[in-house]
Formats: sequence, structure tokens, C-alpha cells
Amino acid sequence: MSCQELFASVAKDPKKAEKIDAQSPDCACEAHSVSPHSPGPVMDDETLWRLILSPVHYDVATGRVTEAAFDDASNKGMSVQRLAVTGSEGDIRQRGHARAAAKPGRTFECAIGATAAGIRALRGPEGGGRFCIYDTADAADPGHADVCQTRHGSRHTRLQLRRELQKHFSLLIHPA
Amino acid sequence: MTAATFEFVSYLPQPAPTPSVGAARTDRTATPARGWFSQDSVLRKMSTALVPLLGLAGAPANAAPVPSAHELVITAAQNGRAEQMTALLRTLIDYQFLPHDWDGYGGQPAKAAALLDTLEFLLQLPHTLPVPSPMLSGSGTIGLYWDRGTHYASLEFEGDGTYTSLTDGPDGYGGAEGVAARTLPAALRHFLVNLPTAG
Repeated sequence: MSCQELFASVAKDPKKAEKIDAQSPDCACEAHSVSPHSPGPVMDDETLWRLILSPVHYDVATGRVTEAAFDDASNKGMSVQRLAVTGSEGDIRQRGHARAAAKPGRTFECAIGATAAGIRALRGPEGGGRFCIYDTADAADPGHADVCQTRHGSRHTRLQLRRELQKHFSLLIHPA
Repeated sequence: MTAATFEFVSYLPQPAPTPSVGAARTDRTATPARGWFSQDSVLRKMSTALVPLLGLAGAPANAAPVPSAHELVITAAQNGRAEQMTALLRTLIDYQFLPHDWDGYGGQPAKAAALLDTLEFLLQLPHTLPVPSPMLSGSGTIGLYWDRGTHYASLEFEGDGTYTSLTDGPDGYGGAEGVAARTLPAALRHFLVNLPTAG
């Protein structure tokens, strides 16, 4: 099975990250484009942005996005936007407002960013996993990518890895 | 009386002359919180579910009636820590009523079992420890956390009667998984006792 076939087969799977890791260990599919709509694999020097679309994920007391906001990376994949494909930071902001306006109750709180190389360098405790970044574009969103955790054995490791993501996503785009 | 029962009762305010419970109720009516009264029935269900967990199910017939969660929360709001706990409980309950896709990424509302486990933990949390902040993941698991910059601790409740803890401080990472929801391991307690004061 090719990487594109693998990703097509798990596109809506709530355990996508785990299934990809089982079928294609050690981030092997990072070297290939996993979507026919993508301009190419995510490069190390790219900046990736996660849109925060609910106040639930934002702690007004600390001004930080919560650790739980990064949990998708361990299961269905954490959606991010590739700045190099999506456009400018203004385009990221515009996309955030548009996504929030699409459903009552959502608000565009902010976008948080990190470099692909930094995300790929994060490590759990000994042999406990890391993150792969795949170019999961679709026709309407060619700049879409997914951050997916490897190795799904330990709950504590999962929390430690998502805490690492929380600390690493230190770039910020305000809503206005 | 079990230890858990003692901790539960400790959340009730000590007798205080002012403001009265009635005044507190009036104040809340004057500035209604988001969705508060609409969730009263849920609070009562929570209260009912928690009674056996607190060891009160076999209380003698002449024992004082167990307060409803609504009464408990209103009365408890008479002191500062309890106000924080009230806000926390309200947020946790709100998590159950979030719509599908609340986060724009297919997020699920909180799992009921995760909510009950979280409440069970909070009921035995010594009130000498600071009140945590809540968080919710897209898969419906509930978290609690204390963020003091250099010192950070979080717990995650998946709804199986246990939680996973993570501490992140000057000595690096720590924590445990599979911890029974109504317990507070000594290492975690020690970490929380030594949290810097919130800025």
C-alpha cells in the first residue's frame, strides 16, 4: 500500500495516528506526499499554525493554550496550516475567523505556531515516541497538514509529549 | 465517617453570619451565570451519583439530609476557595453540554464517566491545596492543571476510574498512570504543596 492509499484509508479514523504508525513506522511516509492535492511533503524550515477556535482551549489567566488542545496529535491527527502554502499570517487569521464563523459557539481565539523541524525534534522518554508531520491536503485546503504521534503504549508518555507540543508552539497570531 | 466524607463536608462553608444563604441565592439571581439554572437537574443527578462514593449511602435515618449539589455550590460560594471550586464545577459541567465539533476539529463533549471521575478526585482534594484549572480534549477526556510557570502539573481523566498525572518542574518530568480517581499519591501531593504562589 502506498502512503497516499494508506492515508486515504484512514482519513476520518479517530485513531488515525496509531494506525499510520502501525502501517508506516518511524514517520516513513514523511518522505512522500500523502495527498494528491499537496504541493509536496512538509519541509523542516516550514512554519505550521494551529487555529484555536474555542475558548475552552484558551486560559485567560495565563494567556496560554491548554495542554489538552494538543491531544489530537495522539489520535485523529492535529490539523495545522502550512504557512508556505496557505499564504501570509493575515491569511491564517482570515481562515481562523472564517472557520469560527461557520458554527455558533466558536470563536477564533488565536493561532499558535511552531517550526516543523522543532516539532520533529521533540522526544518522549526513552523510546516513547515523537511526532511526524504529513501533508494531508485536500482540494479546498492545500495547506493542510497533520501532526501525528508515534508509539501509543503509555498514557503518561502521551501527556508528556503533548506537554512538549504545548511548550513548543510558542508563536502567536492574535485574532485582530 | 470516611476520609472522603470528611473532605466532602469540608467544602461546606463554616457557619458565617453574612451573607446568608438567601442573600447568596439572591445575588446569583441578580447576575445569572451562563446556563446555570438550566443545569440544576444535572447537578442533582451528580449529587445523587456522588452520595455512594462519599460513603453516605448507609447514613442513619436521623442523619442530617445530604445537600443537593445546587445547595452545596450556592452555600459553598461564601468563601473564596469555594468560589473557585464553584467556577471549576460549573465549567466541568458545561463541558458535557458542548455541541459536537465544538473545537472546529470534530471535538466531542466531555464523557460522563470522565466527569464523575474528575468530581471524585476533587471531592478528596485537600482544601489546603490550590484549586486547579479545567481543560477538555477533543476526544472528551477531562483534564485538571496547575500552571505556575516553572512548575506545572496536570491530570487526565479518561473515564475508567483512574487518572494519569504529569508533573513538569525544575527536576524534569514526573507522574504516574492508572491512579485511582479518589486517591492523591504522596509524590503528587508533595509537588502540589510546593507549587509557587500564583502570580
